[in-house]
Amino acid sequence: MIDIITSSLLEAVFAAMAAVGFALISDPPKRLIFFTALLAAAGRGVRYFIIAQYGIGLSIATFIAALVIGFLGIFMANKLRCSMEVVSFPALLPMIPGLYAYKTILSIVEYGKTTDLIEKQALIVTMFDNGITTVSIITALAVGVTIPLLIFYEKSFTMTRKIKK
Amino acid sequence: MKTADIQELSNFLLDYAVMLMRSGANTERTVRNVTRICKSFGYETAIAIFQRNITMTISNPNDHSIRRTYVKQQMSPHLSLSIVNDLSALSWQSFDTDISLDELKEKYNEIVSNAHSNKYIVLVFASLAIAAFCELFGGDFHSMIIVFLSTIVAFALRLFLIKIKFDVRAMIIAVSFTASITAYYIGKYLINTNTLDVAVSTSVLFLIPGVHIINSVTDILDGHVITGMARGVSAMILVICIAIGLYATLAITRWAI
Repeated sequence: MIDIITSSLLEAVFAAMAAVGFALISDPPKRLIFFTALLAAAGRGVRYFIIAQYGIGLSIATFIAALVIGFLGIFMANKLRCSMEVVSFPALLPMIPGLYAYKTILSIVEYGKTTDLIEKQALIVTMFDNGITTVSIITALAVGVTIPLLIFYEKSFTMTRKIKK
Repeated sequence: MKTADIQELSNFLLDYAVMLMRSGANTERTVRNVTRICKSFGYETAIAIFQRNITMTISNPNDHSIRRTYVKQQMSPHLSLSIVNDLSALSWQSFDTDISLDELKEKYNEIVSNAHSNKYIVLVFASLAIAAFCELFGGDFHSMIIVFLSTIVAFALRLFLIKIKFDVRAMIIAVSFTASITAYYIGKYLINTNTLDVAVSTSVLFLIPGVHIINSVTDILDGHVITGMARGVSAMILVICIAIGLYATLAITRWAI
């Protein structure tokens, strides 16, 4: 248990580092970068923790993590008077399934090169395995972060308002 | 109730809407912000947003013969969430205070002109981010150094190609290829690592159009299905371009995990 918590925290720290860079690429307001990093750390830490502790599948865990980021993002955006997507979208980027996408492409390349039928069959399985994981994680991220946005739909458009009425 | 010349207002609102869409706002936000500003000056508006252009009608509710309809071309995307945030705040300011159109324009120009952050700081932090990312995917410390270096090279190339206004798809193919092949050769000849595959695969990830992908989903869920689909397709094209660059590296080096 202690082990899992420590590695979740470590994962969270690296996620925060990654989020700062990814956030800067999309040019957010400077005062929000710290909060984006916090959100990213929370998301990635939660995902690692529930996978390690409860053995939940990667896509479902990603969905839950995206929900966490979404709700915390709404809360923070309301406190900080900024739009919700500005603070929470960059926080999702450390969960983009780059390695799976890469493996999908790799098996497509290999598939073109090989002539052996058995090998081709094995490659189709890898291709679909990784491809489906990639697509389902991206969908989980996008839908997970949008659900809180839809729940607080009207609210989400008034967050940049300086005067509360 | 404050008022403004309808001609000036429509010119301003078209620029405003195009700038929001360009900076990566979702469609619903753009529509609402424009409607809000329009309402604050006592006009009615209807707006249609497509991938390549925006159509907008502004009319006086008391006298429908006072009416302007314009179509304006969209600009090529240049992501800036701070512009999205500040322009949204500006629309509320227009709604809540009696700020005049001239002042509004002045603030708009101020927001648009000093938004983009220092490129070299972004370069360093993006490289650090990719290094951290490499660790998340299970790369060892040496792989982190490899991707840090390769990202500096590739990101500098990206900045240069953006500066000389290279086509965005060709730019992404070139940068993705440079990033992955630099990572591969550094890993092979300069720094030893056991997780070279992780390094090569994470080296291209700073190109992923994450905000566009998420915007596409939110647009579709908001009911702006066509804009959302268009955004999704253009994001997919960029992802395919990343894959082509990576494929080129793998084909040249003839190397697999």
